[in-house]
Amino acid sequence: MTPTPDHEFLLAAEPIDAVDELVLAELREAHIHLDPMPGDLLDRIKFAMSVASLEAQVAEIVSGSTLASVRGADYDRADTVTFARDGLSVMVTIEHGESTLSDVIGWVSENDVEVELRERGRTRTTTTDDEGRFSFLGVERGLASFVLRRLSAPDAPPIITPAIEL
Amino acid sequence: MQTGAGAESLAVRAADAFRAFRDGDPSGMSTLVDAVTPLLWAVARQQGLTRQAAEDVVQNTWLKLIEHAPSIADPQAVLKWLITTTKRDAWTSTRRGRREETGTYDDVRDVEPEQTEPSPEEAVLAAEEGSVVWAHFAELPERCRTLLRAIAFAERPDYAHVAEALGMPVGSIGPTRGRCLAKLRAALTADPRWEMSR
Repeated sequence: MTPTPDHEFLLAAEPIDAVDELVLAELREAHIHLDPMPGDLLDRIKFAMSVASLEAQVAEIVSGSTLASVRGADYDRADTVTFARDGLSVMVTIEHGESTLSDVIGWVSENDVEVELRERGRTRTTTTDDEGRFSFLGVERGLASFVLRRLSAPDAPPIITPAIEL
Repeated sequence: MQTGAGAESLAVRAADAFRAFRDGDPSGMSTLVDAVTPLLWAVARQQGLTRQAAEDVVQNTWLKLIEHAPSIADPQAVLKWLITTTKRDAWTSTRRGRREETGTYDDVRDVEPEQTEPSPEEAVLAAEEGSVVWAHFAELPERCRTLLRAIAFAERPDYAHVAEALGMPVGSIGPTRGRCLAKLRAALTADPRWEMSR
């Protein structure tokens, strides 16, 4: 039987009760079951937030996807992610070897940029070359984010990227 | 008025954690991320993002919260800020995705095979597994699905607040049931499979 519009209208005007709570709880369970959050999402967020500071500007991922790797071959793959903020863009390519270490090759749309690689418990810093290139070799797999500072503007807030899985 | 067990307002918890964070104590933020991220995930996915894009948008929302912390005057508005930022960025992201795809002349369905909602086959399967609610949810108007999926991940004192953050008219839900929840409830109570599953 189809409920009449009148019936629905009256129902809509009543206060929320225990049956509604049950309906919403079932709806929540169904979504958790059929479209769950990625298991590492909370971890990624907390890692990225720990790198961020009150003054930092957040770059957005404009192309590439850090999970694309899941669909590719399990080794010798390269993932490319591009971040951008305020006219500065950074392209990062992660080259996975057969070991647990990866090489990170990057390019920044400006030169004279200091690039910091933040991993759990470890930080490395390099500076872009004349053509905006930089690299970090032999990086452990895991979550990492980048902090970029324009050397020409030392007082400007740093730009940070979201955490990606290397 | 206390509205039931476990119904501690997310908005209030968000305000407390945010205030502490701004005063130099970041410890509450981790708890806040745990409490609110499932809701933001629901908002991003219901806007039609792929799982990957939703993950990026939700992560960026939290980073932007830190970036904009000095400019958020009222800590009580933090939950609303998180929801509206996620919804707006999800919308921007779907538009950007479509623009990139049109350049390659691919059918959107080929490029983004991931669904944000159940197919009819999945809905039948879900119903057989006891999730009759999923099948009826899929029949609701889009506006109602957006509202109810988010509400399902909020606490009762937050319903009206969440609806407002999603741009729904006042009275969409809370303290009264509202049309969307009424529709879903009416469909379920009329479905004998649901009666059995209770």
